[in-house]
Amino acid sequence: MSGRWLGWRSALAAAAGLCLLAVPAEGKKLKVKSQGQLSIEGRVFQPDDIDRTQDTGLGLAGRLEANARYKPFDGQLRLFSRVDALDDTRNLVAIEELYLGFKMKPVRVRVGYQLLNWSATEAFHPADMLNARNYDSRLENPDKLGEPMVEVQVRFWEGNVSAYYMPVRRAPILPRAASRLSPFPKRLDVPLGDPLFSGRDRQIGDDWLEHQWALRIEQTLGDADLSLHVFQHVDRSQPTQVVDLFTGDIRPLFHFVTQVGGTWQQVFGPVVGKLEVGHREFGYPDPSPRYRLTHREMLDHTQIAAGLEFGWGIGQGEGTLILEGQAMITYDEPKLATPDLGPYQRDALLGYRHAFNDTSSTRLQAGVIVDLEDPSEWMIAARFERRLGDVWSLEANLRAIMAEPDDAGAGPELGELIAVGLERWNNANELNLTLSRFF
Amino acid sequence: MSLPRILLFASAALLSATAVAAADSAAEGLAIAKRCDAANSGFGSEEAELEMVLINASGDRVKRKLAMKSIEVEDEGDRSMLTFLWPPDIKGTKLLTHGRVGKSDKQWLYLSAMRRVKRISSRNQSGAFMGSEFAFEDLGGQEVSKYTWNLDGEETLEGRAAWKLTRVPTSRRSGYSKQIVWMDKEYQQPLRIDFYDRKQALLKTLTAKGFARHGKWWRPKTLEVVNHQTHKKSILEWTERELEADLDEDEFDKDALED
Repeated sequence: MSGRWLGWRSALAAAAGLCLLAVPAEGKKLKVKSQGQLSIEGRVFQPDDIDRTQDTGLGLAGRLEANARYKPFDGQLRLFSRVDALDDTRNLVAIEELYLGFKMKPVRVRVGYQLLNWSATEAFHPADMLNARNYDSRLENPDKLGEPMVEVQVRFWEGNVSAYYMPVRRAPILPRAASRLSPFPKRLDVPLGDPLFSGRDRQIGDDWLEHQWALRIEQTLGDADLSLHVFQHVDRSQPTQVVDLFTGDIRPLFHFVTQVGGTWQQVFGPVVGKLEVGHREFGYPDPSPRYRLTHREMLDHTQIAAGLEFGWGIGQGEGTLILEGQAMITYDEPKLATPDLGPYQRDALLGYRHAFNDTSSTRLQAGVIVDLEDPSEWMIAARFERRLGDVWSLEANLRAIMAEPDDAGAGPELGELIAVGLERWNNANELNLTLSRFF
Repeated sequence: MSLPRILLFASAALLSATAVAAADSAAEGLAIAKRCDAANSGFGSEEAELEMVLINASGDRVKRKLAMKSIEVEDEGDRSMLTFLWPPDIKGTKLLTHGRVGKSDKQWLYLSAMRRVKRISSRNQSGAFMGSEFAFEDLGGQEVSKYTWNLDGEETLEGRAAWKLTRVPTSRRSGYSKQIVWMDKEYQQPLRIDFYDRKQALLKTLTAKGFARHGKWWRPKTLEVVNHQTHKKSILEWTERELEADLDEDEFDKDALED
């Protein structure tokens, strides 16, 4: 919880920074812009038979964004907050962006919290790992949290090279035991403690400082966009679990990882081809007198996602067919057996998006993700968006999951313990509605 | 000479004269199009803010705002960056286009809410732009080579002398079978364009108004499109416009989308 409120103090500091930037100087042109949204968010899950889980949520959410430019400097602030009347574990204030920047061709420097998006594909994101995420948001693509960093970007040829230094380990927001989106067993009354990190020195602890870095090259070559990256950081998406012998809590443990990978996007007429790869090698922690490691270990692996998008005109609108697949390749074991936070291991997506191109910007998107190792496991997700007038908008999301763990008749408790991938969200069927007022 | 021979000779002469005239009017049409294109080029770069009003058949109005900047690139198509300013839910979304001669344009979409730069295909040119009566192909680069041209004659439109031209899109992906263009002789810009759909039916009419001089180039203040089939109307108005703006090619790189 402390991480959430650390964000609030930093936000005040950012606002002060923006105010300082806003002091006009003679002969220079200051531009300040702001925007935001207030939303009513409702979500309803298909009821389960577990008393401690919360099947409904009704929240008031706000996002505030401000940008100041005073060449060659700029500053950016983006905050998100939510108060939920029915499920207070979802209350939060999160910094999405809070940085000061400097730009003088060909160099750009930014210092502060940033949201990076390195994705090429729509459903699977093996390259887009740098930001911590809020796992109590959208299961298909959880919201990102701002990552504190220093970025130096140099433009060259048809792209750029960027170097990042990230001295702070920002914990992800994990769903609490009451949340239907929790990847951890919900039927067993086991308290889930705060996150732990295994650092470069392989020691387990909860220190928030760590030397983390990343390097990325992006280039456009004709009809292709290519990027290559390498980074060393504490992963925030694939925890294992340890038992804290002092408190008796089960605590998620995030591991130090070295990742190399890249993305490729290329246009072939009406088709856009995509490839996204991340190869990860984990630094497994040394034994600790306080924390007992569970039997599951992080396995070095390569995650590959590939996809095609095919678009065509339909009347004044546009339809897009999306086909994507993902595979996890491990080298030491025949099957990846990590209790990672993501629902996908080896899956395929077939989706369709329709942009009506009308005055209300109506969009409809639907897709099915099928587990290729067990086609009886699947997830269907649909989204509808429509603007109401100029400043209101409505978004509806529907998700259904069918992924029964193979508990061999031993009962749902054991089923939850042995569940992997999508099975951990079996029957987490959800309808959510968001009504937003933009300003 | 017998009568049948005279008729045959006369028919052949008529056909040949018609063919020559057709070739002449095509050549003249192309020459006028090239002349107008040359007259409208050379401005270097342009920066503008625009408002678009969409009016449905009942007269209800919806407003859009956008900022546009473009730059001419030698031996290639123009590059442009479109930034959506209103309505506020899409504020900050950007569309970057690198025009290419004889090839599909390169396009990237920047989704501001997700901080994501997405490569997109530019093949669907007939779709509606922001729900308006303008299609993407109406607002994209209007290179001469995108059409075959024919001069139909000269007419006076709203008191202004104009060439009447027929242009036929060379792309099979265009939403139009042909366009009739009234090209102002002084402004060397279209005063009016009638668009015909793929079924050869009159689809919509574009009217340019409020021409003003920016340096040595004439530009319209508003473009109005009336759809004759749906009775909807869209009006695009330049609220600010600067030609020979202080822009350089770096501002049209993919990286610039995130600035």
